[in-house]
Amino acid sequence: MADTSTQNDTQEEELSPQAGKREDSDTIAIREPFNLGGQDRIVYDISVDKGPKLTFGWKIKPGSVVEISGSGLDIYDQIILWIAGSREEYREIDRSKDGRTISFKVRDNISELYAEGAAAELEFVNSGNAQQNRYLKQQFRIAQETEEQKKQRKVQEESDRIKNAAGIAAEQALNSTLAAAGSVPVSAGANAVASSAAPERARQINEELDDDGENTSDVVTDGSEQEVSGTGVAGIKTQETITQTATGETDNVVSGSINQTVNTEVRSAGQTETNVSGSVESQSQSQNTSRAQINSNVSSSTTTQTQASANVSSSGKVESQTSSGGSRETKISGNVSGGVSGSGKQTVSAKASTNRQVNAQTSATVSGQGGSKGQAGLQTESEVSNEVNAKATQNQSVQNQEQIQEKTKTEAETSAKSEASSGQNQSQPETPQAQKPETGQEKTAKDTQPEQPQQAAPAQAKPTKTQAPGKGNIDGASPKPLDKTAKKSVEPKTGTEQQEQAPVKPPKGLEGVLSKFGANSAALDSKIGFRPTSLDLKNNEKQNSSAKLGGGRTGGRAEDQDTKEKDDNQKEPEVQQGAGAAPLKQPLGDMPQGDQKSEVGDQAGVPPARQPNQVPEEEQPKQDKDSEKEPQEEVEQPKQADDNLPNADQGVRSFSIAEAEKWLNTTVNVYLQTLATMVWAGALPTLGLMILIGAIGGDLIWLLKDRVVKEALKRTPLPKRFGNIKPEDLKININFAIKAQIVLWNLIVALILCFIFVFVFTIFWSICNSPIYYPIRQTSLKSACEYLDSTKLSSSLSNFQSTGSFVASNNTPGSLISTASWTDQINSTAQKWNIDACILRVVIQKESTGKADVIGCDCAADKHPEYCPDKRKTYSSDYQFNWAQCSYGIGLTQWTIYPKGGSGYKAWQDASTPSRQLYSSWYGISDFLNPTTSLDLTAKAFSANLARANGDVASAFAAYVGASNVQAQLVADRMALYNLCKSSATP
Amino acid sequence: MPKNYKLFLYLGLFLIFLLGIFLIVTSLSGKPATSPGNTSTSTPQNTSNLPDYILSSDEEASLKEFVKNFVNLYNTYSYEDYSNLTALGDYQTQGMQEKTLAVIENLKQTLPIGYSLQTQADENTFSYKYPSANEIIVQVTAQAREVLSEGKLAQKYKINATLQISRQQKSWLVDDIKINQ
Repeated sequence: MADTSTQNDTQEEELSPQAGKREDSDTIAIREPFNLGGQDRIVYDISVDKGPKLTFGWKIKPGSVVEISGSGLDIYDQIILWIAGSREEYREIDRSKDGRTISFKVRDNISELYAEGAAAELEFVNSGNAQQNRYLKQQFRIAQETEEQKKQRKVQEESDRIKNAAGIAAEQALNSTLAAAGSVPVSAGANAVASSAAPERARQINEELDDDGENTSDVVTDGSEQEVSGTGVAGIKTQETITQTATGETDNVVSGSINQTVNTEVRSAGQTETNVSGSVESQSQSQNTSRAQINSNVSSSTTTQTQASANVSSSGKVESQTSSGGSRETKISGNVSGGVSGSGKQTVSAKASTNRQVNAQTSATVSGQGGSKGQAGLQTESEVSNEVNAKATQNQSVQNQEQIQEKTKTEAETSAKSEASSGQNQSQPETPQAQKPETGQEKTAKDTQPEQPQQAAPAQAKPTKTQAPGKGNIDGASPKPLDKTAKKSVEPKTGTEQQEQAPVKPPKGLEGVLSKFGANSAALDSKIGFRPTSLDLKNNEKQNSSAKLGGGRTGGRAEDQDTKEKDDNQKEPEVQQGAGAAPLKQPLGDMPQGDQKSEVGDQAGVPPARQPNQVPEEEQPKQDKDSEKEPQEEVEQPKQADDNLPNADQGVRSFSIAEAEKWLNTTVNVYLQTLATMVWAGALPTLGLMILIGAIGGDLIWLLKDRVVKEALKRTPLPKRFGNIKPEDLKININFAIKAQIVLWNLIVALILCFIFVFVFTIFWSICNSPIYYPIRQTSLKSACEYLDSTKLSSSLSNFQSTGSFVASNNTPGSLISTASWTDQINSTAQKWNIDACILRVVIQKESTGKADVIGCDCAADKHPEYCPDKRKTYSSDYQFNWAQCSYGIGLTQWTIYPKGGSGYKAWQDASTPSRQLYSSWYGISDFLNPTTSLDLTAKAFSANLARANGDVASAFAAYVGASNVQAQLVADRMALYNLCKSSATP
Repeated sequence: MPKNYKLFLYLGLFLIFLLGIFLIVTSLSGKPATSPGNTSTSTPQNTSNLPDYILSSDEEASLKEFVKNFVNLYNTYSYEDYSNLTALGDYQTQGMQEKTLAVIENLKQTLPIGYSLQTQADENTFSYKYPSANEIIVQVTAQAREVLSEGKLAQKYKINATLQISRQQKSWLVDDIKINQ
């Protein structure tokens, strides 16, 4: 194992994407204001190793305890930490609880499990709505280990190994002690000590509890039976420190030291009842000489702010049977103190019957075989469990594994000193004797280690050799929610097992705790269908080979199983599921239970066929990155994670860019939406000016979004957590709502412009075409109006001339007017309108020269010879019209279209467009060129005129041509024609 | 006083009786009531040889109206306004139309700018000669008011118009017109 501490320091720097520029960069970016329902409402705070809660700027080290808290956690029900495609961490969130804080511990050896550059991804899962899932990605990086670090790591490994050996020796010493004491069934109450001094200790505890709530217990074994009872005050404050050193000797040199100190304080204030009972049975035989000295000090501290009153009663019974064939000197000292303070009521009960019936959270089993034969089982409710598996063979093959130190909420230090010497010490626990009932532990042990079923089981069922009993009792009195857990197990191993386990690096105490999570995660993986990842397999391997996971937690597990035997019986089949995949699913918010279950799972999850050196292929990719035998699947996951990452830095950068883009786009869109709201709000007060500004500004922002936003970023750079991401790397996306509003603004502006144009054009047109504004037209607007006229006339003339509605073929130059051809039509029309036909004849004779296709120009020939070169001239191709200047009479009766319209008139447009209104109907040139229409309109007009003039034809003509002095001659001429027509008829 | 003066008295009364009879017989034989008055010299004077038709009073009144209006229109025009002339096409024979067009063309070429002529016929001067059933010769005197050019005073004079009118399909058509100043 690499030197964790050294590597951690290096890794911190290396995990930073750009360590050189950013010393405090995060290893995993957590804070992210997720936009849900239009609001950024989720903020995660990260606390590492009980440090301050930070939104960023924190660091995660291997072994760190990471707590994630945030108001938005209620959205998610799972959190998964993926590394290299493997599920490194898994937590379920109990969303029903408030104040969620999710914590997990980073494994110490996490740097060994994953290749450098592997993708690390923290996934927040909402199983009910996958769209809300969030992925916080980083890249896992490992610093190159220097030679010095390698040396330090080796020294550390050797030191650990020695410690483990010492632990074995201590175990042996304990076994010897237990053997000397014989079978020691203990039934201890809360804070009681499963030792020969239990009664006395119980009394002391009671006294202490009665006095000040503090209790101290020492662990001594004897053959007496004691009951310990006490009362105390509720509220628990426990501080536990465990340090352990051990030295031991067998035939050869086995040295080690275990210092274990158990210091438990129980302060009770209030009303708390704690009943703990337990028993320890120990049978040991020793034929060799062993010498061990174990000094264990366990101190635990647990503080709860509950209000409770406590009555602590404890009873213990210690039976000890010891037969020893050698000399043994054992010194065990324990100091347990516990305090319970608070008010309220808490009840903790524990029972121990032999090794099984103990409601405790911690169990420790020490079994030895060899010169001494003994077994001690202790179940307490301590949250600190120690298991020491010590094996001493004649050939002096000593191995132990120590798994301890879990710093979740409890700090535990155990110190134990042990000196043991034995020429040929073989400790074989007589588990069957000690463990009468077939507990889940036993089954598990058998399942997981069928070769040595009796070794594992005793180890699990053994009581804590030293301070575990006392500590366990005290801890057992502590309520579970205290969440203070420190477990330690030492299992004696046979020589064979030791040899098998030899290649496996003894895990550190922290790893033992970390491995819980790994096993737990593996169990979850298995349960939900994930195949065991290399990480899981590694965990399993270690569980199997070194019993780090299984054995290390067997004490607690056995206790757990014992405690929950009835409840957990149904879970046992799950526990025994496939290798490395303990199918246990624990809620994140219930860590103690999770630990317990995970332990069981770990125990069950130890693959029996797995040998330490037989690394499955799945594991090889992790152990040997360069191996070509890596299963493709194992390789693909990291590849998939890094598909787009040509190198490590780029991978991190890509992720950061994505996150930065998300943040930036969210920010930009929120800002733009704010502006949009302002535009809408200001539209009315500014009479639409804000709409115009919004349209122009929106278009500019839309078109130049990159430039605008990045220019803004120069002034207001990205948050620090995004590192040194360049604005050029970010892609700006304006959301649909903003774009839609910009489009809408443009449409509104275009519509307004259209209205303005039509309005202005209408005004000009009216001025140019209305006789009222004729002076204006002829002066200030002359040019404009002529321009409009020319435009209009040119097209109109072209249109008119192209119609070919009439031709000049009927025109015979020089011919006089003849109405003879219209006689029938004139007569019918006159009859229709009840007028004299001569009137129509006169009109024709005077207006149109009797030709239907004539277009007369009413412009004065002397003033506009260019327009009317020959009045009454019928249309011809050389006839130049000027509809803007002249009035033109159209057709048989010469209905006139005036140049600029007026009341009842419209300006000339084209041949077919109606330009004059007569009797509520509009007529165009084409209509007037129709003789029937023309005559009909004339007859209608004269009919009306005659009606108004009481039949006076002269008045009717005067109305027709205009009753003015100028028109008098015109009327006289028409009347002359009318009379001529009337008198032309012969008798 | 001689005894035979009574003879001379009775002879004078007999002669008067005979004159009366003569007059009665003459009136009943259809002699023209009126003689052709102011007819132009060009008017044919052959009516003396043939007995003329006599118009009824209504016919005569109608003919008077026709002749009056025709003469007025025919002899009223101005510079570039010959619409009265062209408007009489329905009341002219084809030959007369050609003559009118010739007059118009002549006027277009001869009339100065501002020239205008207005004519008002006096129907009391109307006389006619009706030598045949489909032809009648009418004479009428009219008052002309002529402005030779713009800005000049108008001249007034009398003209005699003789029209030769033919009957075609129950309508009078002017076949010829002579206007003498």
